Amino acid sequence: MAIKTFTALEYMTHTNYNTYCQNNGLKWLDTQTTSFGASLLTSNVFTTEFDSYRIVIDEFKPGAGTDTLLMCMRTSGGRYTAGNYYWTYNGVVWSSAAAIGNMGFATTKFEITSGGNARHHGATIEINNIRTSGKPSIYWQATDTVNNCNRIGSGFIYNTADYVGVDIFTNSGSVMICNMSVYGYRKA
Amino acid sequence: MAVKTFTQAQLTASDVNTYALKGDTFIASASVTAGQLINCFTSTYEQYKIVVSNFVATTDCHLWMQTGYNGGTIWIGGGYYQGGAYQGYSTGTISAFVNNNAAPYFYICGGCNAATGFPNSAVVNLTRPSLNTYLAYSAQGTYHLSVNISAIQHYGQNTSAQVADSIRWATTAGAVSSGTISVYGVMQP
Repeated sequence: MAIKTFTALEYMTHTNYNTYCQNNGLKWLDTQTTSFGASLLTSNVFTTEFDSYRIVIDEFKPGAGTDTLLMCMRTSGGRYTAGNYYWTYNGVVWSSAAAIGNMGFATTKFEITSGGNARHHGATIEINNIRTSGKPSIYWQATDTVNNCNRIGSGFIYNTADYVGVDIFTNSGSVMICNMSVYGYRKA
Repeated sequence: MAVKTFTQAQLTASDVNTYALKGDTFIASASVTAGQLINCFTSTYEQYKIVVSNFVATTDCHLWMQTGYNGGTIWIGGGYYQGGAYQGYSTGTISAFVNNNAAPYFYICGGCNAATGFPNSAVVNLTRPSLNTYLAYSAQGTYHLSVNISAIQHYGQNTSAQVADSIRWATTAGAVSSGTISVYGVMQP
């Protein structure tokens, strides 16, 4: 996309708009927040407009002690909880350089990261093959202060369905703070 | 980027420059059967994101990508260095993966026939394809074959000093069947 710097007293024309403003590749769709209470963040913004989405988790901080941040897909019937979630993650421990990893085989949710309530944590999650004939694939990167490592994860759902959104929540069900923003990748 | 609700009848030049011209930009997309995207890299951006979605092949394979220049008339056939890991979903076992300039392309993700497996996908980050410096590459994707399902993460560079403007892709075995590849530019100051 070309870039134009507009000057004073110059109007934006419809051609300008179509040329410079219509090509946003990553479209913000939704932001959900919660603090000092239930951890559940629900976003039902997946549509046929996009096949691929980015989810940004910002400021996740458990309510007490340590907790695990989890994610499930949603269909029109609610949270998808069948045992069709397959995932792995690995990371390198900051203090020792030791490699760690874990996996979930036919589980009921994705395990995004773990953290203690002394730190804020972030995660960037990419989801592909939504609302197509494919089975959704997921990749993510996150900070993990339980294992003191980066967390690089991948996974998929062995089920084709009309997924309309995601649930983000913690193992304990409570949280001090967590924000989630969802973006869609323009596909044409 | 700041978000603003406009109330005035006309936007000022400053409004447009501040609120309308920033962010990731969709550049182009193509069916994987097209095999290439020509002139998708320009000097406007230094970083690009490539999303491979719903990729199906005729048989078990790797999907690979190669950069090119002169409007895609010349393809860079060497200097691809890549390291990474596979991690099986059933075991969690991590297996190293390298391409020490042995294959003339970057490996992206797995591919398989939909009748024996299911679609693969990947998110690829490319830095500096349109500058005459080493191109940096990273990707996360699925490696679903008919008998093997795992995640794949890899990182690398291409040592060519050519200014790349195009990208093409193919499989290490069989042919592509369906899927979409989209290219996005990451806005820079």
